[in-house]
Amino acid sequence: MRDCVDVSGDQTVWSDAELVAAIAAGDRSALRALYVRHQPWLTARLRHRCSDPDVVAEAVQDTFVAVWRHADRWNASGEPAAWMWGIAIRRLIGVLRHRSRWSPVSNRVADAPTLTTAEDLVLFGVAHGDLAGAIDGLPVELRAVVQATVLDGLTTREAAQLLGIPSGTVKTRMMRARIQLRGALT
Amino acid sequence: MTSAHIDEHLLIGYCELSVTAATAAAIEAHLMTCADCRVGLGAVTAVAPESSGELEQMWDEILQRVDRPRLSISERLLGSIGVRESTARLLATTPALRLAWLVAVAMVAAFAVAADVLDGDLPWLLLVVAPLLPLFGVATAFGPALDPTYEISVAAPLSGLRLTLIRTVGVLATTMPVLLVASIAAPGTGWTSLGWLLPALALVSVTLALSSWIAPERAACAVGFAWLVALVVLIHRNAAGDFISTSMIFAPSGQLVTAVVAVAGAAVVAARKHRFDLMIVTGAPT
Repeated sequence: MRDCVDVSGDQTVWSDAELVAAIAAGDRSALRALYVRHQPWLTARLRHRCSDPDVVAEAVQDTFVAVWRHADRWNASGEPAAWMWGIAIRRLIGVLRHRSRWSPVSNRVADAPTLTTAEDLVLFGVAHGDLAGAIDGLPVELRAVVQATVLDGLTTREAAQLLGIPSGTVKTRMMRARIQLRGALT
Repeated sequence: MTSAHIDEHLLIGYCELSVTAATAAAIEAHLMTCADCRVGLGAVTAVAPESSGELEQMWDEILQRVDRPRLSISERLLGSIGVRESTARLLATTPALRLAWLVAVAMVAAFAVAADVLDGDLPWLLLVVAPLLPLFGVATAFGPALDPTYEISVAAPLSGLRLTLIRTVGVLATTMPVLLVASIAAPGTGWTSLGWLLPALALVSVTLALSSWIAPERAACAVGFAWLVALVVLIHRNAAGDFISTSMIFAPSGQLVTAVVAVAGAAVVAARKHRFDLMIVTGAPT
């Protein structure tokens, strides 16, 4: 077992792993610390998957309730942020299915004002070749499928639920996206 | 990659959904590995005046849900078939809905049927026992002696009759299927093996009617005793010692009598429904 966490210390400086371990032991202030630390980026990232703020808020709320109940299921070797994102994106799918209405993935206008510079992209390491340009060049519906399956790591079925389309469509769109990306990169 | 951090303008753009998809993907990939940038994103969003209010409001809601007791399996099952949460709670606290109770009912029914199968061609032991099982379920379902939520229901603005009927339906809905399964295995031709059904309803109905005068557990004991006495009398009338007379109850005339008794009991309950509110308050209406 990992070292026992220091109960008396200031929890805002604890690592995520220590906080999750404390939550598993029923420490509510640890949940608060984890919430303050992770709520903003989880919300921001989910907003990129669903344009309805109410749905996103409900999914984020569900996520922290799930973290509280299932903190003991987190395997201590992983990164808590990735674990929480896995819960959050699936809770989003659950909320969308529950409301049985589909809020489209944010439709970014192709020529939206962008703050991206070439240097930024090089820094983040996705700009090998012209991958960034190729991804941006994809039609919105193909990009959504790439985002859900490749970047969020969802299964075909989960991606279909998130996007409100049949599983078969996810597969064909993924195939089209792959062909188009290959064409753009070679 | 982790040595560099995301520019604040990019984070703002990310939060406002105004960056390209590739940039958003790059930012997300970086966020997953960099705690500093996650904090930085929090600082960017915290600038908006309404954000801290939203943060606290959501936290309050999370706390409420964390504090709320988790629904039991039976409550969730009831909820999934459209029963309201308050009604589901009332039903789920019925003592007769516990697994131990159901197992006990199944065991008693199984032994009765087994004895009947070994004994003869009429399910008379099932007839004796089967009506008593829902009866005792109802007896423990409300009233001060055995209802775990009695203290709460005294204070709640709740119709006594409604509580009584909800609990009774709960008892019947769980006990009856067990008994029905038992009757499939019981000897007897056609509807004979279901001969206990109307007597069971009649006993429950009379118990409810009596509960408007005396405490439910006493009413149930009285009715159950009366049922046994009636059976003994019927058996004794037949000097030969057979259980032929008992088969009167299986005959259409006997079934009709029990049906009339059941309806009469229900009529008394309807006529004296206000007494059930008194029972909730005083324990035994007087």
